[in-house]
Amino acid sequence: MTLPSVLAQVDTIPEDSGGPYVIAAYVVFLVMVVVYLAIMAQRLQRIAKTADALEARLDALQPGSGAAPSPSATAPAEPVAITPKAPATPAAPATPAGDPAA
Amino acid sequence: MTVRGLRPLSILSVVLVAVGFAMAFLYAPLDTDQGFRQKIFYLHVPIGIVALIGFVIGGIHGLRYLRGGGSEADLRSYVHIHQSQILAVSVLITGAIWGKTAWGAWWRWDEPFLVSFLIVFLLYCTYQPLRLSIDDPRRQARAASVFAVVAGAFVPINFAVVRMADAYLHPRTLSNAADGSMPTPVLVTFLTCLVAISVLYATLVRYEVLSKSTTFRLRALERRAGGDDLIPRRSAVPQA
Repeated sequence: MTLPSVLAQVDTIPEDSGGPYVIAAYVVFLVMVVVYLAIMAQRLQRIAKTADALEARLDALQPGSGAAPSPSATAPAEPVAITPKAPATPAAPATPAGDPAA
Repeated sequence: MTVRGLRPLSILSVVLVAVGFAMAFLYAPLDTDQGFRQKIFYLHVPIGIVALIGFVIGGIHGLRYLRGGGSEADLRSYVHIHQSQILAVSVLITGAIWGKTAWGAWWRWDEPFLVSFLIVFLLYCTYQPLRLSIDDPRRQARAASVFAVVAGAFVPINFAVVRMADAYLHPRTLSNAADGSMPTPVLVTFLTCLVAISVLYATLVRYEVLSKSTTFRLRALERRAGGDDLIPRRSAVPQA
């Protein structure tokens, strides 16, 4: 299956048998997937920004950390476990239950 | 599951979708009745099947949560339902396009499959508002899990009832397959597309679970750091 043979097929899409509609259906699906991936990428950027801010905050908390580089800046990247580390017993909420911020 | 496992899964889904769509256009023969417009079948039907299965999986995870599965089960239930909603939108759009080219109308209210799928979609449209209406994370998770279980059970029942109905305008291609009348190239292409969409769905689910669980971990780190959360908290998304 070569590219010219694929393009030859595209050239022969019959318009009287709903060709544009078929193409539209496939394009709509692919566009939805791409839009979803773009949204995911945006969220990933937000997570990265939050991690940076958190890192800066932790660096500020450590005495004399200004001179030393942060461990995360030098350590190799490790795989991230998908499952949050849930405690054996439910942890006390940081804010009262029912608080919209909880 | 780690980030490392996502890369081969992502590559596999891209390859499978490309192969499946290529087979739909280049390998599968033209339908004698519908002609070229039947190619939408290889996209529309697999997405619909995967979306409905995703709703059921969301219900299974909801049941896991109710049986003490923890916040991870609630998160997975949420993500499966969310992904299935996205696929359901695709099903409705591609179905409308297919209807327009096959019937000359974007929508038919006398077509049981269309209307029943719309009912399922609208039912799940209430899922996020339900979550958002409950502030307490545990109550929110419990109510959402009950919803996921009940709605997840409704999906196959609804599908079976529609299949048992007498009046049909919608093409029953899968029943033809059961009769052995579906040509082999059509069946092979359809199954390839079904596998491709399933793998794509699984990939997107894992991406979203990873994204949300990473957000939870960051939030926990923020709490340990003693500062305010940097991420807005009120959300329909499950809270860790």
